[in-house]
Amino acid sequence: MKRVRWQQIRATLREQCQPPPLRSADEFWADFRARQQLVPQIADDPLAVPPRFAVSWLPALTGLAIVALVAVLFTKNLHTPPPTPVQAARLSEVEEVEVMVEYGGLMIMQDAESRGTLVWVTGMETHDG
Amino acid sequence: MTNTGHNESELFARARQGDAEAFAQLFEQYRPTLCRVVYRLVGADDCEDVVMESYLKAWRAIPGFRGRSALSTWLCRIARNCAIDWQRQSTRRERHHVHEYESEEDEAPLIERTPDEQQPTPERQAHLNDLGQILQEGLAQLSDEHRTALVLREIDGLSYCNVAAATGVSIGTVMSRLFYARRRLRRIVEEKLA
Repeated sequence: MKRVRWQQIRATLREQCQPPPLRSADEFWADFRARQQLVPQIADDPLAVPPRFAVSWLPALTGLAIVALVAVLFTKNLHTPPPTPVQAARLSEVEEVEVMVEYGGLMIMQDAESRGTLVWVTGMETHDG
Repeated sequence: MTNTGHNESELFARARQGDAEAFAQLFEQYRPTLCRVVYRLVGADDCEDVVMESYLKAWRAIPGFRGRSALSTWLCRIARNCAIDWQRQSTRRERHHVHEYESEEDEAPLIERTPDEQQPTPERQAHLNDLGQILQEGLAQLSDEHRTALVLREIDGLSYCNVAAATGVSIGTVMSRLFYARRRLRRIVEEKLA
């Protein structure tokens, strides 16, 4: 592949892509003076600041607020002690069951998942019955 | 302080106080740069109007100029804002100069050519025509951002700072765009010439 020096490219671009010639300075500034009298000067310089610059504060501040919020939540989370592991509750231990009426059977069931104990009495005879 | 610097300070102070003559003397030196920037942004038809509008805005705003940037950079920024406003108001968007690049069928040159002030030799002219045609095709393949940065820097000779002001991006972005634009343009040229 033929190597082309950048200087050569630049020179060609400059030769071919020149802007049109300027108006004469006298003519231009005479025109300017005629118009300038209609334009009062102002102390502030809103034109020098690109409009995009002013608008860009809004997303910047929003982003900053989100970052600050996340940082606060993260920091707060760091300082909160982690919850202690739940102690495995002991299963209820039924040491004694006393049924004051006549009954047919007694069943004691223990559920390891719910850590509960169920005492099931069947065949009880009540006074009504 | 140099004599020129002293004169500029004096002219600047007078211009801020409403002396139009001082303003003209001070800003005439920036007119070629400003015209080039505006020409690249809006094209030849509206160039004079936008340049004048830029100077009128600069005149209006110069009392508030704080000196945070060079006058030329400040002026480039104003010109860019004026060009954007002008384009928004203009209903003749086909005049936008950049669009001329994109039309491959359009026979008009990318940028108006200079009158033949210096006649090259026939051999040199033939080579220029070849390379020039390739470069025009290459420029057309660049993105708008890359092309504008390249033209303002390489053809118009603006500083990085002024290219940044004229295009509304940071200097780092300008440098990045120039790097990629140069590399791509050079590759296109080399492929075509191979």
